[in-house]
Amino acid sequence: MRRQWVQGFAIVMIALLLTACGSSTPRRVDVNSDIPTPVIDKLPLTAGVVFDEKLTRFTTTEQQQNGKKWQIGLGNTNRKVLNDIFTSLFENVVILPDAKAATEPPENVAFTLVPRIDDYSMLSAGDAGGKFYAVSMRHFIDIYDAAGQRTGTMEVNSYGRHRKGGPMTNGTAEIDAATDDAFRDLAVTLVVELPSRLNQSGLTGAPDEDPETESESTE
Amino acid sequence: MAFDNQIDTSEGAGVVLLTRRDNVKTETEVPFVDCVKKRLTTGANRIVLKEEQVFLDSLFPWFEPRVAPLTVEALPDLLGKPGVSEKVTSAGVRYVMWLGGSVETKDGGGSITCDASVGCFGFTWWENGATYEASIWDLESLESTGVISADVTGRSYIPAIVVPIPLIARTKTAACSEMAEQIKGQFVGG
Repeated sequence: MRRQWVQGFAIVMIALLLTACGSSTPRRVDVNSDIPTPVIDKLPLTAGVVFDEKLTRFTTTEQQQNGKKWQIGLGNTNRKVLNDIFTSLFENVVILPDAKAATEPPENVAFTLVPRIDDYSMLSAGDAGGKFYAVSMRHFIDIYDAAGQRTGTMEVNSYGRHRKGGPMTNGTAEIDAATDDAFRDLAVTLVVELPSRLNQSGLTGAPDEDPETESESTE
Repeated sequence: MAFDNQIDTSEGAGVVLLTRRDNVKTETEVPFVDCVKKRLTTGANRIVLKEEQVFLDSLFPWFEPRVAPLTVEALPDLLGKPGVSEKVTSAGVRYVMWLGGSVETKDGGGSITCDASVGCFGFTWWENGATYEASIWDLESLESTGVISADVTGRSYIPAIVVPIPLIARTKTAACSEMAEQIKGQFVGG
């Protein structure tokens, strides 16, 4: 009787194991990245920001060549990291309800930023034939002036990677860490390039940095 | 090695070792960096190193791979940015040591054939070259204090008579040891 029970238990366990291995159900990765506070001076401006649902609920499914799938949730991090960057860059940040509000912004808003995520790709170490999991992301930031006119769009490509762990790893931690790295890279680009992009569009109220214009004004 | 003077860290002039990560193909491996750090911070003439990640976070984003200074000539511009010089001072760091390099397989040959019934027979070999470099920058004088390099070559063999017997050259370990000893030799009073 006991032997039959053990055999039955073993069969059930093997069946469960095989089901788990062959399952096409994607593994879930909820990314919760954090960025350090940037060492910069805030611009004395009020920025309007729109975080639409497509950005804040963004989820993507990535599949490895061997069929293994991951469902990667980036919505929370999109909002958190972008909000942290904007509040580090500008004296005041006003969250606007939707993209329509960018065309009819409140009076005190100098410009409105509408970030979008366009692409997220993940390459596992196995597929890349290397030692790293690699992640690339593409975001767009639509920029509207104080009158609600769209003055341009900034494209931001970010990259992250993380070394493959030991033989027992299933890749989830590596994807999470590589995505953290990509968000850190996104923050670097925005902190360094967004102020000059806004300046070039004449949205910061700062004097033109063009050296020729500068020399003309001093003469 | 190109040092004129030894670096005196006796007056609390902190040192941080940063890994060059601007080139994916030649990025220095984490185990090598860990090995150098371990050898620098232990034994005779040990150096007190500031934590790399803490330094990177406290000066974010200015030492990230995308924007980190590649040459010492970029330092005045970097330290002139709002708040950067103050953060460096509060981090207690005077010397930044950039570590870069990697191991490449230079040459190799031979072959081994394995069969389930009789085992493996043959002979294979390869040669690895480890090239690492550490540049030390003084954030106070805004000058390069020197460059230390370690070049180590090692040949590995696997003879197989029924069972393969790997005889692996410890190229990285030798490079780590050489690099750490050279660096230690340049610091006094740590």
